[in-house]
Amino acid sequence: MKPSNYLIYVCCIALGCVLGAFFCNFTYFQFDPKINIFELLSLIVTTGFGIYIAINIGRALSLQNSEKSLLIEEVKESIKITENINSAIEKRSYDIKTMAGELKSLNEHLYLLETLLESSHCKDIELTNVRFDLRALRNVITSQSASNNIVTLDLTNYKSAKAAYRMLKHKYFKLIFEINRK
Amino acid sequence: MQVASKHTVKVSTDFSPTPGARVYADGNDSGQEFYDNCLRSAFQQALDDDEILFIDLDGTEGYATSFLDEAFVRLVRDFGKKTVLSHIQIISNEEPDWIEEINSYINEAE
Repeated sequence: MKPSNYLIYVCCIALGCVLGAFFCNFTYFQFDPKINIFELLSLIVTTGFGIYIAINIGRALSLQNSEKSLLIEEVKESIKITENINSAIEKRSYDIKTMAGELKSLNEHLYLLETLLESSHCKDIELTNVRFDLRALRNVITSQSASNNIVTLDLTNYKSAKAAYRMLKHKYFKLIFEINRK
Repeated sequence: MQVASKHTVKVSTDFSPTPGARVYADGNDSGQEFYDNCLRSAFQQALDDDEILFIDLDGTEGYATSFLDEAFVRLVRDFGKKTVLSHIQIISNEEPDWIEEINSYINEAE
């Protein structure tokens, strides 16, 4: 058995002792046979407020959590596409038309994310930095010369493409952290 | 946005749904090919009629930076920056950031 389980048993026994002592001395408490109407009203109103706040806060929190999950899913989709682009960069050779397609898909996800953010509780999150890094990556990997539309990256361009990819991926992770903090 | 104008070039249908790289040597569907076979004549016609040429970028698989850079830089070299800026309108609802990017290619050309 784990040591933490022993601790739980000890705590339960201690709690039992305290409750036992409390109920033994229950006769020390006196109950007023009269009910003060103001106190009763105050109790009812307080209880009502308590229930109302609990229900509303619970609902708001659940709504915020579902919005967060949706937004994060969308960011994860973008990260997946970014990984596909990275695989092509790693091979140092890719079809520029295929790459343009991947980048368009990434850009469209970013526009969708922007729309979703605007209609969620995270509307103050800015995507300017992500967009800037996406453009930088697009410029590095689709401005190269090609042969039969196949681009072959030399070492310098490979390093630039990897740096641009890492910057973009970093921004996506920061975006997830930012959404989670909301 | 739907544009009803006789001076419209829609890249996906008038040229290719899969635009390529910069010049002929890079492969098929290049920016140079687009300029030579499509953009230059369409722009000349719009200019002759003193009208705006609408260039619709939507509906393709996506663009390489080099494709758009080459096509618009060639347009500026042949017709001049001022004429180009006053006679074209880019439509890009799927990727609106291309509009700003193309304007920067035009402004940095010559």
